[in-house]
Amino acid sequence: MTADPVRDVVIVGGGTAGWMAASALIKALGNKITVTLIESDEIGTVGVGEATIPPIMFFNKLLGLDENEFVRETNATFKLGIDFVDWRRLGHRYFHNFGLLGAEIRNGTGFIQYWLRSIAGNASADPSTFSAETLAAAQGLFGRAGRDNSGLPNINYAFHFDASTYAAFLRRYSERRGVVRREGKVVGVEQDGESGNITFVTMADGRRIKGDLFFDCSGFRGLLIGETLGSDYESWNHWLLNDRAIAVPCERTEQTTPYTRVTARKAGWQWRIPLQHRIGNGHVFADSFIKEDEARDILLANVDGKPLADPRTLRFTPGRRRRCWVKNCIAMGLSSGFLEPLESTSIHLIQVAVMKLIAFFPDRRFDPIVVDRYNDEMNLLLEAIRDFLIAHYHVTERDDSDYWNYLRTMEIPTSLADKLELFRTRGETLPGPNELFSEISWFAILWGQGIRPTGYHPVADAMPQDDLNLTLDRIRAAIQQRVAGLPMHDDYIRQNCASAT
Amino acid sequence: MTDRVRRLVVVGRDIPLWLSAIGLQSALGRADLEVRVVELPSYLQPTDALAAVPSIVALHRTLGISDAVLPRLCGAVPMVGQRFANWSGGAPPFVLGFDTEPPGDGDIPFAQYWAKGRLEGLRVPLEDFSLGSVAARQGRVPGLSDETSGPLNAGFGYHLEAGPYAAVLHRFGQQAGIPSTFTNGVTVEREGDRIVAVVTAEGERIEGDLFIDASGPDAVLSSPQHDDFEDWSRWLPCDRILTASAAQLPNPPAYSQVSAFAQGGSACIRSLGEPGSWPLSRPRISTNGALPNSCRR
Repeated sequence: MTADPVRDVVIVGGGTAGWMAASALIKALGNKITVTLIESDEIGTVGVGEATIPPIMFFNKLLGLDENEFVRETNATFKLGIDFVDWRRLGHRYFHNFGLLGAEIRNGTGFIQYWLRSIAGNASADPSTFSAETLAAAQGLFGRAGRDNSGLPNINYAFHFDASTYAAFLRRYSERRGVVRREGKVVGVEQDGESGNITFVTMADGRRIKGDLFFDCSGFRGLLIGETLGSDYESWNHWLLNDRAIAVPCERTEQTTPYTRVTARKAGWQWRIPLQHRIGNGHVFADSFIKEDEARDILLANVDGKPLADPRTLRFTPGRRRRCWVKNCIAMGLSSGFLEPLESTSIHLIQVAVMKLIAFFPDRRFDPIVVDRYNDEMNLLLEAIRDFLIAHYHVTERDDSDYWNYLRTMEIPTSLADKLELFRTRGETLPGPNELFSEISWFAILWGQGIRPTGYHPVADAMPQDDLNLTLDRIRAAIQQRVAGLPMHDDYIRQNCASAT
Repeated sequence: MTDRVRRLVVVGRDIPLWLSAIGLQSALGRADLEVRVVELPSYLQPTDALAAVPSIVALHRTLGISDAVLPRLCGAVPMVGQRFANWSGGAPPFVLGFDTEPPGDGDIPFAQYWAKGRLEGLRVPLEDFSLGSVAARQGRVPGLSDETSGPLNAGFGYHLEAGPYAAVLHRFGQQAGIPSTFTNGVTVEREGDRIVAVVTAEGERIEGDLFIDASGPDAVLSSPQHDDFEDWSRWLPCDRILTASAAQLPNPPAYSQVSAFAQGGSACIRSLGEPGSWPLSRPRISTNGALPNSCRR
């Protein structure tokens, strides 16, 4: 028995973050803790169409979800990567694929290094034939293909889903397992006079809710973490200019693309996220470079179907809460920071926050060593994602607006400058152990945005030329064979996990 | 590729010298890297023995060194754990086995469940849940991919006679075509901060683009002006090693024994095997004369 266990957990705020936290906590610790979630129907959630990345599989596994049921209930589609349009220059496109590039090379270095050797400096070489996900996406194909004995590559995927139905889905999951939902607004917070720990939150109707551990899922406001506990917010607006998003859903098209599309605009970018019943669209832009009306016009002029609702505007400050865990309160979701959804990291960050909290689950002493370690790891994770996002804007040839001119020439964090320098000379970025994006993702973006490395890893030269040719041919053939066996994305959904609507 | 390192010179002695040279030659030898060895006199004593953790098996596989010859040439016997005696008051010795831990139920380590069980009265030591520890105590060696082990997974390393093992590596390096020069000492030729060549006591000058110092505590390539050795002796006070050997044990264990003594010193007792027949091996308590002065920095 732990000396001073946490018994009552209170989550302030529903939405994607609140319900992800509630569902994971009740699943992992349900027989030892109570979980109360406070949300108000009067306060809207930010949730629009959401795109995810493959690690969401770990979260689904933690919850023990049936994947087809999850897809059906959230109007989800499958995602193989992100199609980047007009980012390097107008008219150019590239694909950030999930999964591997090529294959693992035993007793050597990474595939990318062999590929760089094989192209012998050809700047227009195209790596996409070495990604099963990229080839499948281009043809609208999708099927689940795990690691098997066929010798063929597996297919890595994530989901696009409707965030509001996702929250509702997780709410049903959580309530079935004992999470108590309290309807209403939080109007007051009580703290212990000595420790400063939060003891109660007070609701508009006078109810006081006691807790040992509080989750701030109140959104940008940061009701507990900011307003009560004073953890300040660090703005990254000087590197990530965008601070507005306008979202609008539209009617679906005939074919459901198995990827997210992000198209660069003159002062921002536009997302296109296909769901089973509609397409989510949004324009993320910088308020200081373009008027909201114009941004809305650009968005509405570039959707594939009839709009299904009025466009909604969202304001944000890119950046992070300096400390996401303070005393007995942990911020998750928008209260902990905001990075634009260019690489679909929002839900992933919630997932990591929840799973790390479970891994570091405290007792009521809230040991500062554990708290600091949690905050340090979250900060490293976030900074590396920030750098990855900045790279999309900084490494570009676009010079058609003040916005792009600023981004292309601005001073960047040294952590990113180091990666770019490594990539230019060695064709690798050496991501650290706390980083989300792998060498393959960095390669996809930096090659896609136009950097051509001048060298590659010396070990790649150790493979005899004939072996190299044979190896590349063999890998390419296996990829082609895998892709040729995949069904159309729409057929796959229809046969396995079509939503009722 | 104009700035590539083309000439690599490894200066040193014994096992570190040859392992690094063979490793680099095997990874980069075919990529136009010329690896050269400058070998200094051995510091190994006939009584020196080694306990190598299981990663040595993977290392040998990568380098193409066949483990089959090790029992015959350097008395190798498999080792599946280390037994620590007298490290914790009157507590009985424990065996640290080389294996993956048993699967827990979830994302936290198995030891957390064991700790909970212990508070609730469980009297079984943690090591009894380790395939490696139990095997070590019983003198058994789990296979590399033993399907009978189920979710448990244990590996083994080796007890080796140090001198003969160094000789095996030396021979392997020569067969791999690594040119080597034996010398009693070297002087270092620098341009600014950069080493450009080493000159042997016999007068041979060997240039390189990159130098590796595998000379042991002598650190022959270290710059006298920039000797930034960091002293950790306030945490790790032992600063001498005595080695000795003794007659074989009647039942040689499959583990190393690591015993603590009152003066804060410790000793390792390692059994070395007879050719190809490790269960009947001829162990010696490893041992004797102090290492050369250079070990004392």
